[in-house]
Amino acid sequence: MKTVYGFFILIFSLAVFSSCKKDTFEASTATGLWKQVSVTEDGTPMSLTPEQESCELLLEANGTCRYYHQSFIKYNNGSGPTKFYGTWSMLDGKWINFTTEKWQFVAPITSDSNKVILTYKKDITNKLGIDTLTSVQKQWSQYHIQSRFTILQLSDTEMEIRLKTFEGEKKYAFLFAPAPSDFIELKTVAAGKANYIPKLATNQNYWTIRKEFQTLKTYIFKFRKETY
Amino acid sequence: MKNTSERILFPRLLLGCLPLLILFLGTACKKDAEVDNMTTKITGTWHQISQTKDDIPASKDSSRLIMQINANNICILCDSSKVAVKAKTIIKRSGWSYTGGLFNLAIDLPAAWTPVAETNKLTLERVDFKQDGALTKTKLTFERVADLEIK
Repeated sequence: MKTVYGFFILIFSLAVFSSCKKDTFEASTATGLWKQVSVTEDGTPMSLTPEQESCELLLEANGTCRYYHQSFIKYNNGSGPTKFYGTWSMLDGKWINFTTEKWQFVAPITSDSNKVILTYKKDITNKLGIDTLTSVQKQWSQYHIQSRFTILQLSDTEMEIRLKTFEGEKKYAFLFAPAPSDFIELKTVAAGKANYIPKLATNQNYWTIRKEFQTLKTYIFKFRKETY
Repeated sequence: MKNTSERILFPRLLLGCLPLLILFLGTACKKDAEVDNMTTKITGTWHQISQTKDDIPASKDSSRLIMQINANNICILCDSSKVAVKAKTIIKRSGWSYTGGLFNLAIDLPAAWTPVAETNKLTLERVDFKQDGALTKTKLTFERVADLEIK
């Protein structure tokens, strides 16, 4: 009789172990080519531009992640950068981490009137205008950061991940394809350097951007697995 | 009475768990052995014999006509491209590793190669995004040559 009880205890333990395992996801399922199919912001579907809809992720078993999107394809006379890279990892089978490029908003403002400090230059007609390229380089600081997503669904065909972050962190980062209207082309950078940067901050949009970096939102990204 | 039944039950439970333990250990050893086996197989000096792009024959990749993969995780590439010859930088050194079934050559990252190794033949395959978002597949085939000292 005791042997029977022992047998049942063993079966019960195995059943518990198996049921726990179903709550987590295998890293091997995440490897492959994923096409972004939808993004929601606080539950509302975001309208994506065709450049953003082209977004794909190639996750490889060695932890590298290659991103593709066409947000900057119009730069450099139509041959702008489309390929970007970072790393990925899975944590406890429940979270997935991605490292991506991000920009911190560091635009200087005057202490007395809260006006955005811009750099000016004279054009060929000797008229004074905003030096956009010099100004934006003083307003944004590029860095890399790891974002941790909660895995909602991960199968051989679909991946759904959730991130709670600031609106500005999503907009001015490669999560996973930025809107082309939020970035501008840097036309005078040296070969091999990134020729994209977030848009110019002026007195008109400064506080809007600041607010974006203080507004928390929840984003859900859905991907479909592609064969290659 | 209780002590007696416990004495009988406990060894039986242990005995029941033994196959699971062996299974776990066996799996772990298998994975390590696979890594060691591939590491051993790809170590050596290799001469590139062909390149294909999306299964279509292409001219050889002149940046690595000879590739020496050393056991100390240093790989030496003989770069015969015009740029390298002109700059007198035909010998290039790069770190390498084998993780997740991929041959990672530091000089090529973030792209990594999927290796298929036989005794005297090595095939490396990688995929890259094209400008339109499609993936292109590059395959390099090497044959083993006698180890030589590259300086």
